[in-house]
Amino acid sequence: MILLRIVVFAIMAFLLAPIVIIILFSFHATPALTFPFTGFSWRWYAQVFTDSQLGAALVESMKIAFWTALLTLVLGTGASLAWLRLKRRGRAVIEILGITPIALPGLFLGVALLVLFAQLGISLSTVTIVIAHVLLTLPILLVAMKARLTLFDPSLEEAARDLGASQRQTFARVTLPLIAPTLISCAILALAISFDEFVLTSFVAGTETTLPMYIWSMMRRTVTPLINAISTLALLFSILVLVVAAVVGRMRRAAAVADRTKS
Amino acid sequence: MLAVTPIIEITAGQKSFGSMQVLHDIDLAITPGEIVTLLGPSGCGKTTLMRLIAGFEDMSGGGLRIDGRDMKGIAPEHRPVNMVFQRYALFPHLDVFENVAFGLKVKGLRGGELRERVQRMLKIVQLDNLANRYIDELSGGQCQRVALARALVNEPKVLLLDEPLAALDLKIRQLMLEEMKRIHAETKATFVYVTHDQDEAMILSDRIVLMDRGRIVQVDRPEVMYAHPRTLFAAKFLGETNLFEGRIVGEGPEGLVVHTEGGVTFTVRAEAPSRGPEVVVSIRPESFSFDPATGDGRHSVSGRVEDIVFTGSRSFYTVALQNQRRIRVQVQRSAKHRMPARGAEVALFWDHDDVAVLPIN
Amino acid sequence: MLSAGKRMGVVLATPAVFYLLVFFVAPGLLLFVYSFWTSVAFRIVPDFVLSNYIGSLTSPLFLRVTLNAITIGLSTAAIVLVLAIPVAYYLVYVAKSKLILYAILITWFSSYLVRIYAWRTLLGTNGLINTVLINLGVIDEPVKAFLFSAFAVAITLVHIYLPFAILLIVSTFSEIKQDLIDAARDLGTSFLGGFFRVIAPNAVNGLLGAFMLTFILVAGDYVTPQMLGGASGQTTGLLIADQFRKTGNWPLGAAEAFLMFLVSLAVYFGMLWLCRMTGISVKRRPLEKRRAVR
Repeated sequence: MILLRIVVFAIMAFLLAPIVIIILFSFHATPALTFPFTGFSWRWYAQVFTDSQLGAALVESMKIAFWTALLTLVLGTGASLAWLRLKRRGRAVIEILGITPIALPGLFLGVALLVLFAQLGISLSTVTIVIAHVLLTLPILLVAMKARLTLFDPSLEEAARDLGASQRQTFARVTLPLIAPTLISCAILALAISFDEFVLTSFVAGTETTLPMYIWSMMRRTVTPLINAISTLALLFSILVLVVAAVVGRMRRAAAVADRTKS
Repeated sequence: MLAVTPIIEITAGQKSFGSMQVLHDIDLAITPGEIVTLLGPSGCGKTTLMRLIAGFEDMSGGGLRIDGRDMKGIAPEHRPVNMVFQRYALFPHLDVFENVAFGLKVKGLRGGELRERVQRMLKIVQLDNLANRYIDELSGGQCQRVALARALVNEPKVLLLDEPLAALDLKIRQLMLEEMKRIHAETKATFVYVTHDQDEAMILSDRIVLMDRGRIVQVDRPEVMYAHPRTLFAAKFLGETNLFEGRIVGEGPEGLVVHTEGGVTFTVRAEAPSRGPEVVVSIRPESFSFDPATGDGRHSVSGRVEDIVFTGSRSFYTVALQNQRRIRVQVQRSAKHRMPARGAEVALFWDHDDVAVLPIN
Repeated sequence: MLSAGKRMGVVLATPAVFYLLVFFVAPGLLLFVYSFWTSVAFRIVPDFVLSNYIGSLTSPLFLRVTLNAITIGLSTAAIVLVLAIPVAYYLVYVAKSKLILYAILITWFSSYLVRIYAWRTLLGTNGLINTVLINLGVIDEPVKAFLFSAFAVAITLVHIYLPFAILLIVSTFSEIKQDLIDAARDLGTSFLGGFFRVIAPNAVNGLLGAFMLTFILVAGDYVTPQMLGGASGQTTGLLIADQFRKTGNWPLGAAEAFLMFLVSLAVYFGMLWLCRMTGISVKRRPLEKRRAVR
């Protein structure tokens, strides 16, 4: 047991150490990325916020992440609700189509989409990047939803109908609220995946530059704490998104109770 | 029964799933305000019958009227009935208050009246102090009360209950049965109660609808069904009984005379089954007695006590007759009489009013 | 009512199904068609030739980089599995530590490129590991071999794909109740015995799934080997990517992509077969063919 604990903590240290060091050296006063640590400075962060190219890439990435999450949410919600209503064969179609892309590397999806866009004469742009990203995020949503939906008790929908709710009311008041938390957390996950996606993007981006592509071009040229600073901010962003998701989930519950005691 | 318009009336009801017919020729009329139990083994069609009434399944044939209105093509949300689901189907994303308020809210009720009605209902089921709890913060018994309140707050003409106590343990089950009787008295709704548990059925019901393999076998008050089962199935399903295969040999001044395989002759005050003369005689364990005063001591058989199970107020005896045929006897503890011990030779007495004669299947 | 629900289901599924047909199935098929076309003077010409496949399979370069990709994939997936199991086991059965779970989530959410970058700075000649080792007096001069080696590639890939594998295995273990381990211990197995006799056989499908997913992702990952592997860093993925981005011979790239896909399938069935042969995964025999026990 003690041995297991030591092993687990060693593995966790291995996972966290590089990230901690990246963050640490983002505050380094000199461009060197080695010990001894020669003093704290915010200079790299200042540089991040004055780099206009970087800013443009960041905006581009956020735009793509937003649309990817939205499209994933819309398509995924439809497919999830359909899954609940369909019988075995219909479900199989959704599952096979929706889940296989996970088992293919981004490279494969990237070149396939590139060929499609070339054949159809679609020029590469922000839109093609979003289309590609949804191909990664929709399957993840569907896998997570499938696990959630198999636990969904169909008698809840029947109970709502029995209590006088129409089909639409049942959907709005029972089905949707029940699956919404999973849908939302999947959409947030989609946001994060899209924000970080690199390989697939590199095939369908055309002349667009996303944040990962910008980091990539910088990384190839040089090693500088500026990259550490960008990385730290990106990580902070991801954590923020996760925290927001958790807080929103908790707040809804409190709000319901508060509403009633007030009125 | 009085000549009141039935609240539920099913005539020649049929239901098939594909080629499987699960309900045959259902004729049933339920009087307003009564508690009716649909009782039967699993797969007898009782749950399907309830789902037909609720509107979750369409009838394959026959008619269904609720409160005088034909229910053909009427969606579940437009029927004046509400259901308590087997595993409650309480909404996990809503708290107790919101669960109970659900039906009223979708009907458009808001504000003070909504709050008042929900709170009144929560008081009836004694949950007014738990209104802010979520479902996963409740015990099984509490969930049960929420499910009842959620249905009853809509003031349904009929409350349908689908094995509502199946998920509870024995102690709470008895408590909830009494609770349900109290709530029924308070709300005066009609209860249609599905169960496979004969005890629940007998404690709760005004009438029992006994079902077997998609058909209604017998509809009667619990005490009548217990004392006068009309079929072998009814006798076996409701309570414990001793069955003797036999043959009607004649009719005396006191009733039918039946010779049975145990070598015992029974006299039965009843009409002979239409199919005869081969019959089965049924006599409940508690109808036997060691007291010669029972039934004037005219009907008796002797045997030897093989086994005694003592459960407090009652004792269960296994008595072996000469031909090794065993009889189950249940006797009330009594200070007056000394109870026979294991191995004792005894005589068993019974009153011929307590004997039922049934057709062989 | 039922049929109305079903019709509603079809309507709701249509957008997603349509999307996947157009942007997943169609491109896949098109890529397959492309793999039989030819590229003449940078122009792609519809054709039906097997030369792309034959050319790839007889090219020493292709065979070498594919073998490299498979080696990297298998070894990384194996290491990932070995490391992920104890962590997942710990999280599910020993201590349901929220802190560790969050730490895993954060690593998983931290950027792919950043992690490559991190290991690059850590392993470089002026990198942290070399500096620390020199200061400690373990080595006299920086070890160049840390970076641009199979070792650097492996450690980075493990770091990138371990968190996801842990999460997958946690969900597999979660379906196996603690009672089973307790029962096994009660019946006299050791701690490890309980794992191998009870948990592993019940989790084998989930573990195999985690292994295969890691393998596919790692074998297809050409960026990490390219950045950290130096001369040893060329894999099939890079070859394919270059066909599309530099050389412009798309049909050849398409054929190579499908060969890569076939290799993944072969590895999957190979693993399945291995699990059956070694008895880790049990295929139930038909009832009537089972050995009678008296």
